[in-house]
Amino acid sequence: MSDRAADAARPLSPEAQAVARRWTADVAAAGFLPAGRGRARAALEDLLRQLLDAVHAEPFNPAPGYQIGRRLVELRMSSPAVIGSTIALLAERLPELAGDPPGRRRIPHLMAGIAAGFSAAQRSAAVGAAEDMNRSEKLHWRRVQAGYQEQLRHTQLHDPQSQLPNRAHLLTHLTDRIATASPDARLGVGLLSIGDFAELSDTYGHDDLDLLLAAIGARLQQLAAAHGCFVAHLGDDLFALVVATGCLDDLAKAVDHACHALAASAPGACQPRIRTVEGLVEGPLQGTTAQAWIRDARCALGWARHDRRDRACYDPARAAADLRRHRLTGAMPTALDRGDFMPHFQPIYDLRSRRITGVEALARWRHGGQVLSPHDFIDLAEQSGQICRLGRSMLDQACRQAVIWREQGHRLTLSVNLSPHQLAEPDLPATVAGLLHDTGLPAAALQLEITESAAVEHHHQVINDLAGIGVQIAIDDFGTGYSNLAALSRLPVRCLKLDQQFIRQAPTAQAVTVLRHTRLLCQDLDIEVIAEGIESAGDERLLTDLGYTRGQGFRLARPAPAHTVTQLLARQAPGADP
Amino acid sequence: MGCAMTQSFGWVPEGVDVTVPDASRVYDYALGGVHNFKVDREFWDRAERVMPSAGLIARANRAFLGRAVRWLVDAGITQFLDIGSGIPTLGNVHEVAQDADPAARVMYVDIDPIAVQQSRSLLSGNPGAAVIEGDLRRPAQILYHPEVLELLDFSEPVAVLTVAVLHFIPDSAGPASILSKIGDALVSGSYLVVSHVGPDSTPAGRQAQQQAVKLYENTPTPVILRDAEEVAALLGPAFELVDPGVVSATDWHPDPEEAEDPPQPAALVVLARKR
Ligand SMILES: C[S@@+](CC[C@H](N)C(=O)[O-])C[C@H]1O[C@@H](n2cnc3c(N)ncnc32)[C@H](O)[C@@H]1O
Repeated sequence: MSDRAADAARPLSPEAQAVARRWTADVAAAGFLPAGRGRARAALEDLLRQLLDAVHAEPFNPAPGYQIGRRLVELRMSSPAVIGSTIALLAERLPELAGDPPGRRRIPHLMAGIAAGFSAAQRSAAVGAAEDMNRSEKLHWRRVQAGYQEQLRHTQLHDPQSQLPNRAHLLTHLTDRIATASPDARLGVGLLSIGDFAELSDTYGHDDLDLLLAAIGARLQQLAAAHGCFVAHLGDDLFALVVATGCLDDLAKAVDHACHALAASAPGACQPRIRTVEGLVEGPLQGTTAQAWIRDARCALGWARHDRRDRACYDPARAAADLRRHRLTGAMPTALDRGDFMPHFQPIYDLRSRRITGVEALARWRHGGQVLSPHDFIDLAEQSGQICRLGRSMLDQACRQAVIWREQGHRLTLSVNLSPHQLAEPDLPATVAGLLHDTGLPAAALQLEITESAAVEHHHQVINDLAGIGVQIAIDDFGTGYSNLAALSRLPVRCLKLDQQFIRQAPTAQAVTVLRHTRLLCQDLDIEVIAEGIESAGDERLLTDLGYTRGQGFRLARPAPAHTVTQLLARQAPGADP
Repeated sequence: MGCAMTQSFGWVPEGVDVTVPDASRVYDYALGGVHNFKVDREFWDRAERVMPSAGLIARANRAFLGRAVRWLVDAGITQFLDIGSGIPTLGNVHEVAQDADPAARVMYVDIDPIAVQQSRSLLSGNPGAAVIEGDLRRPAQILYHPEVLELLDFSEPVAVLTVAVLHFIPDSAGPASILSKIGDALVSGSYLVVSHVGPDSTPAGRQAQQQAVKLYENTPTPVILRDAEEVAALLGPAFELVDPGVVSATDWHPDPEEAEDPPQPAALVVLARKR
């Protein structure tokens, strides 16, 4: 650089300057000169000076020719026409500038160098450019791919309508939080479900519903940013909120905010109010799993819906009970197949003679080393549609046992409970008749207990048909619900089983009055009354004083397996069964 | 990747369409650059066949760009937003600007991702220059791009260059409203530089031009010719024309050394100042 600066100071001869001007014009005609004509001429004058120096240098060195060729390309005078016009011009004008013959003889060597240097530089520029473009395109492509990946990641982790994080994102978020939790960190997860979502969808129509979800998404996102919580959209009407908590109250407050945000999201004029149902779970973070948080919140949400409340909080005890119920329901079909259900029998006594006049069959389930009572499983059997199968199995087993006792000389009345679901089966009378026929139990020895409920009203026909085959009909739990005596008179009822609550309330004068009048009424209607739930000597005395003659209860005998009842019957002083 | 492509452009990665000419690479080739593909070179060779002055117009335009940038630096401008900047070879705006004032900052914007990527690698290590991918038809996305706002201070004058790019913007895309939106973002004392292909001065020249325009119709960037009046009308009331107004590139503050170059009436240029 400093050399050239010194050279530049050294003026060229007027002839040489003229050559440089021609050279500049030729090069400018051959291609674009980015730096402008003035700079180009200065640069070419400089090159011409170096060339003339090389012509006269002792000893001769052809290398500067090569450098000059390269320099042309560096100056962006690189078009093919540049080298052509350069060689032509220099071949013509350099000899006269060089002067003496030894100098002239050097010119072809220098020219060869210029051509070689030019093409070498030109080639590396072209190859360099190709490499450069290659790299640029690869980088570009990589960016495009990264962009797609990011987009894909976004779609994979976000709900398309609300643009909120989706379920997968929520799971990763929870997993990350659990992994990095300090020992005392607590967390709250709230699930918010839009009540009446289906109606809302109808009100809004498809496009507007999308808008609504987008509006909700934006609102919740704002809320998340303002309150430092994480929100997600788990599809349709279900949103989740995750927040660091100190106690359940912190979560409840955050969920309140979210509900307000949701309620205010509805765009448009009609603005139906958005109501939410919420399931909350809060607790220590360490040692948990993401799935468990969502499952528990879902469970709480289910309770809120089931209990028709706006909000429910997760309760491990209730969840354990739910789980047990689910497991029992699942186990029931196999248990029925295997015969794990069987009847126990509770004797019914004649209160005057203390003799057993009948037995009530009560279902029992041998399950996992325990014996379960009806209140553990009857609801489940009804909800899962297995009650009819269970009822038939009980009836069958109980009839067979009753026949055995009859063969031993005990003329007992067998009471068996019917569920309203069984009453709804039109072929029930035929089934019962078939069973009586198969087992050989006289119809009159069977009493079917129907729970007193509105359902009874709907099944007059079935009940009449059952009575028609000679079976006795009893109303169970009388006094607990419907207590419609008018209905009673229209049904072929032979017996009332008075619910134990009357006896529990008996010390009050009012209850005693009811007991007395019920018995009198039944006497008038020619209906037998059996008092249930006799637990003490006092109970028994009260009932006998009021004229009751039949009863059952723990004071008399608990429900027991058939063989125990057989022993009781055997121990009874022989005498005529009624 | 198709077989034909593999054979002729073995090193071109998938996803880059080298089967259609690209404005930035065609222009690079027109100026003698080497950052172009066969399809670009063939396209330009055809254009030059129908319109032999095309190369000179390209050069006149590029030379104008250099002079305009030098003029702006002399006028005290240190911030440049070059929209439609193209392939960064052969006389870059930042080279010219930073040569005149090392503190000058230049933001390049182009719609072609490869040109952007090449600019990016060229500019790495130059804190005063950067590049983003952007579309002139969406000026807000350029003006409020975080990288643009980081490099340029719009509370100070900025020179916006739309050089040899507005003729790719059809009337349907609202070029005047684009320029007006750009004007809104600038403080008074800022500048707008425009160059635009205009109709040739002779009937023969115009006929040749029509043929070249036809060729461009088959590229992703068709060309729209606008005459001096139309170009001036694009600027709108926010800008006042700086002398000598809308002129041909060769007439705009010509370099005395280049005074003898043939005039290029089809390369219209104008420099305007934000009121
Ligand atoms: C002819 S070159 C001009 C390069 C440089 N401004 C010059 O004049 O020397 C046109 C450039 O504009 C770009 N371009 C075309 N349409 C564009 C748009 N809508 N937005 C941004 N750049 C665009 C092309 O990719 C190309 O690089």
